[in-house]
Amino acid sequence: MLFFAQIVAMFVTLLVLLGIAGFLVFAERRVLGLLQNRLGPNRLGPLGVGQALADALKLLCKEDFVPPFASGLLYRTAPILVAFSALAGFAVLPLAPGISWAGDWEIGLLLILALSSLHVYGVFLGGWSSNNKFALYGAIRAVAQLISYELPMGLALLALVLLAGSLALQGLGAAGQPVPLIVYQPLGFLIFFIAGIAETQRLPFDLAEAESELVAGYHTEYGGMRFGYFFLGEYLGLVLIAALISLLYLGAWSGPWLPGWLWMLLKTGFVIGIFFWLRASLPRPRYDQLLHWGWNALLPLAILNLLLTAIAAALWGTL
Amino acid sequence: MMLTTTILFYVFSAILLVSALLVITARNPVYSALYLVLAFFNAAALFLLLGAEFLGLILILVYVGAVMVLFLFVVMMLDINLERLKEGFLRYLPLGLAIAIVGVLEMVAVFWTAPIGRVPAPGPIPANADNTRALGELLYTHYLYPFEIAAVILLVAIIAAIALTLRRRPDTKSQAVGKQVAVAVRERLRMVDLRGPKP
Amino acid sequence: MPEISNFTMNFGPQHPSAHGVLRLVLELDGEVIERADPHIGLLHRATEKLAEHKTFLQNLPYMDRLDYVSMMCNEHAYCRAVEGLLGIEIPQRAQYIRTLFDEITRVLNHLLWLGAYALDVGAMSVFLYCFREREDLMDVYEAVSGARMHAAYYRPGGVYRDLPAQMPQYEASPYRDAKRLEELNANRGGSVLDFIEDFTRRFPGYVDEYETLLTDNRIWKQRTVGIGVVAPERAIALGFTGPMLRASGVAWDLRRTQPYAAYADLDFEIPLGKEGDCYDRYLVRVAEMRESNKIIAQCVDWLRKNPGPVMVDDYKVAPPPREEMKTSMEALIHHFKLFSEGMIVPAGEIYAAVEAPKGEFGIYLLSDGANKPYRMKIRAPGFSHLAAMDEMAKGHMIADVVAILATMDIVFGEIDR
Repeated sequence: MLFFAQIVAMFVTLLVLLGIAGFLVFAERRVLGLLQNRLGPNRLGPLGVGQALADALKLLCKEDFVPPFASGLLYRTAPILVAFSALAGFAVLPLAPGISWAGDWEIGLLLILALSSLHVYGVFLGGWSSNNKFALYGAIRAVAQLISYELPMGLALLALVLLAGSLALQGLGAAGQPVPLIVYQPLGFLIFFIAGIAETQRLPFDLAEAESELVAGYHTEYGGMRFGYFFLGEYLGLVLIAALISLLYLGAWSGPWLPGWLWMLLKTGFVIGIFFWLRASLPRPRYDQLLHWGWNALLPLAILNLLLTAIAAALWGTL
Repeated sequence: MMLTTTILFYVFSAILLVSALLVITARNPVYSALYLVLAFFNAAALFLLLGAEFLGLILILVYVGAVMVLFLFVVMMLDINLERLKEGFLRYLPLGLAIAIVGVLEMVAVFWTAPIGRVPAPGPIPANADNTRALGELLYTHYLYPFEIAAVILLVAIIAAIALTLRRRPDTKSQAVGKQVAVAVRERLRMVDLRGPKP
Repeated sequence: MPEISNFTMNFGPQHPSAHGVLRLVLELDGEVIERADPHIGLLHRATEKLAEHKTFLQNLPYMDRLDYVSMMCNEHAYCRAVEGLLGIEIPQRAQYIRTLFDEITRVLNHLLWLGAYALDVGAMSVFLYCFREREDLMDVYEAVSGARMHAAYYRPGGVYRDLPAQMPQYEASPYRDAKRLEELNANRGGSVLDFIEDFTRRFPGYVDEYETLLTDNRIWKQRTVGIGVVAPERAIALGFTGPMLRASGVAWDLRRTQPYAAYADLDFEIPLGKEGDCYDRYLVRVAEMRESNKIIAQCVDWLRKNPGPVMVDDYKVAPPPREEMKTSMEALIHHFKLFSEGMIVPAGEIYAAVEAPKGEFGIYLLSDGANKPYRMKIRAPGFSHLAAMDEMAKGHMIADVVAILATMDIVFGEIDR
């Protein structure tokens, strides 16, 4: 009976997550509209919320088209991999102490990193199997970018793990009570934030799908719900990274008056808002400059951060 | 519970073996590499079943997330002509077979003498076992020197790989980021009137 | 050992940053451009040939459709060519109105360029900010000519009509409430000149906004400084004109070097770049917008003080007033002849050029004394700029090609003609 209830609850979680992703697409368009002196979708439903549903319906109703020159099986698998890798990460993400599917798993953090390497496959296979030159360039860029930024990201997390002495997300969140870890790890926070944007491939770092250069990058040939899966993966990845930032650095569920899980959601929403804001303001660096920045600036900084943290931990002990 | 684990073990092992076989039989090198990825995944799942979660996830992180991506990266960039590769198949067949037989014999010899089944099975895992910590403690005390040596060898390999493949391209126009950012509008822009002297 | 072979990529014509219908065949080594080969002709409409079969007046609207981002400047060049052949002087007020609208057009063009350039480099907001200002200027176009883009406002002999005394206002609609309507109409109470003057007061602030987002932005500098460098000698040799030439540091601007319309009487400066890279071209164009704004303000000032005719009163060239047509048979005949047979232009040839926003836009006209040009040749600035694509892009990366292409301010209407 409990098993059955759990299955139902997981299914509900899944639906809620998909709903959030759909809502974020709409929210981003509205926020960008606000920042860019225009309206954004405002016709369907109150404030235009119905647009999210309409978009999803539109994607679902489109013809399921596989280009004749694509390698079919991989072409079909790639978007699913992307959406899955983003969705599965939420299994270990705690909202508050005890509110999580596997938050006290001792190596939850590693699972998220492992899933992000799965994400690379989705993007790469999608780009390669499309058999399109723009898609291939997008895929190459995506892989180079994801691998390059996974390193500083992992190193920034390592410093955090060193401080907190735990690989479990629940434990890491608990380490941020009552003082958020950003106080101890300001540099690590910046590194993780920048690498996080690169991992989600959002605008300052959206080179893999840079519209003005590569049309739509690795998903140039995709349409309908297969494209929708990539979209879903991108926005869920965004939520995941934002939730990780607020969980690891911004003190997770701590905050006055309101219940813990609400604080967690608010903080995540705040970080997502910053992501939207960045998208509206910044131009896009060039591909080589992005990698240059990742390897020659972010990686040494991350190593330095780790070293300093280790020294500090040896001198004054961990949390 | 025990039964579920056993079933899962056989499922994962079966997929692992099949995909390992497909790695060497697949015609397209890209598919070979992908089957290898699948094999790694199943190996990781087996580790998880054994309770070695850290090892399992590290296998995915390192092999799937880094090594195989680079493999695929290279394989996909190459325009491999399968006909050319198959040309010398018959010519090299005897040599290949001989090496394969030697390999099989060696394996048999190892398994014959290996203490399989003679080592007592490990006891039940304690409830609060943290295998990350246990691994770390073992690696940084007992096996410290091998660990460091391995690290140095890897470093050498990285440097060698970069030094060997680094291609200077004098025909490209490259920019120094520092100089780019240091540019100021005052230095760049000047306003002129262009009108001749007033009559 | 397998050889490293180059990759050939078809950039456009269906590409988001092909700026219309450019087809660019890129030969790539990795992401580095080995060869960039622009293919043109996908928007060819044979304007030059069409012109041989239309009267001088009927040809005018085709000029709008050449460089469809700087419409009135094209008209200006054509009108100057026809006027030169006719040997007529147009009224001073018409000269000032033309100067005013040339500069409005320059601002319009540079705003679109800036927005598109920023969008191509990835900064999407600037595009929408630029369009906010373009909207006001488009309204001015509409107020004087009735059309937002293809105005056909300049005519041989002056301009079609004087500036309206009332700026058109927004009307009530179910989609906006009274408060919003009032906001929209706040600066539309007076004449068109009042509206333009209000715009010139607001505009420097807007340019500051764009510059805040871009000029000192690290990423922006990384994407533009040192990209697509053209030395002054090469710029001259390649036939560059306009901001492309001035960004390389060559002091050349037809408004000053061969003054036309009312430019000789106005105070403005010419911005010059130093290195000739994308950043210089950006700075030059932004500075040009500020200078244009000053010119507009001066023109508005002059036009307020000096009423007068805006069209020559030679009925062989300009139509007689409608009122006169009701009473005078001769005027009616003139009107009929002018709009059916057209004006007769004496035989001869002429080249007339203006400093269009993109560079020197010239019309070469050859008349055999008939009512249609015998031959017309259009000198489009974008054509020679695009021809330098290979030289500018070689050795850069794909992303730079986009930046270089955008910085050329390519419009296919004039290149393919």
